[in-house]
Amino acid sequence: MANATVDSKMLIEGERPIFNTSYGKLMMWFFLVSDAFTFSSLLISYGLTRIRSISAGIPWANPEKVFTHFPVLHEVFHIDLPLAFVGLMTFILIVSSVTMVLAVEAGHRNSREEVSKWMLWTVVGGAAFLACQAYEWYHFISGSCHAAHGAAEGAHEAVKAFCGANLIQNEYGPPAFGDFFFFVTGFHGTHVFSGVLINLIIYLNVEAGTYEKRGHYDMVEKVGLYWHFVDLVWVFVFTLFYLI
Amino acid sequence: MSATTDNGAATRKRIWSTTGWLTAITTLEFIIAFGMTSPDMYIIKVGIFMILTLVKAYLIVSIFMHLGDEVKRLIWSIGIPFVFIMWLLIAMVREGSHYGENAVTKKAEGTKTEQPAAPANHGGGH
Repeated sequence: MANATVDSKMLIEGERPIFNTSYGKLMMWFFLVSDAFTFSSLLISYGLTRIRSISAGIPWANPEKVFTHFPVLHEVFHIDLPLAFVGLMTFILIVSSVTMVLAVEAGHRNSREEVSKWMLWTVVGGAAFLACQAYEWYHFISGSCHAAHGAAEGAHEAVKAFCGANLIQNEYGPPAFGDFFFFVTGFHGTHVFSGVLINLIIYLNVEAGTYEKRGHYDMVEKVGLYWHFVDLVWVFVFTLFYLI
Repeated sequence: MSATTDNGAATRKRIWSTTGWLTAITTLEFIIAFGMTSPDMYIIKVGIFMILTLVKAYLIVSIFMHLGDEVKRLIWSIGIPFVFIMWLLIAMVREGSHYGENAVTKKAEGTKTEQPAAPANHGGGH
């Protein structure tokens, strides 16, 4: 492993200096570990706050009652499907992760057209996830009181004290529920957004032939690591927020 | 890896089969989420979700992120720091029910009813 001289081109751009992997990939792994710590702290704080709230006698929100809307089915047919939309979001993100792996695999074979195709699908998948998340936030914030402001007849069921959600209070449970929802899904959404941007840049580079000239698609692998991390975090967020 | 003569077909097959497993496990999680609704089964449900999520995480990290193909030293460099996360998780879940308790009021409560209990006793937080 110890060579007498270090070839700086090899060190930065490729082949096998440390742990048998390139510098960039190794650093990306270490960054992901640090980011995993950040997300773990957020999720563990969520668990702590939830347990504390319940043991203090303040009931927490039931995700199956809160997250029930599905596009079109909710607006047009007024059907409530608990957790179905979030399942769709999970599926979209996993599929975009799969297309990313396929892009990396095509990169190993130096097949520019295939890398380009799969990267484009990954960008589309990421953008679709962001659109879905925006829909979730919209419905979370606007709440389940339909046109309660103008209805002064008082003939319908008990009016909620507060409709919708913000960082101060929400209609679903204790304020911490809304705070954590916004913070954790927002932080994750920021990662998805930056991931989509980075993927887009890499896709454009693939199209332009940058990596073909370089001789290897290591950059696609590095960016793939970041994207898989984003998917992995979602798997945990989805389980802890929506399923439990 | 470009030396394989099957044009990457074996790798792609592995990718798709892993995708199948991830989808199957997620579907199972949904079935359990809607099937196990009784409060008595809550702990078991949480335990099952934790295990299934860790399986998904293992599949994603090992196969999609190719960590399983790296040298052992790198795998351990990534894996060992998560011992701290495990500690934090267990500590916070165990102590969660006692968070915010005041040692003074706790002692006062203790002398009123029974022996003063040390704060480390399980308050039966559920």
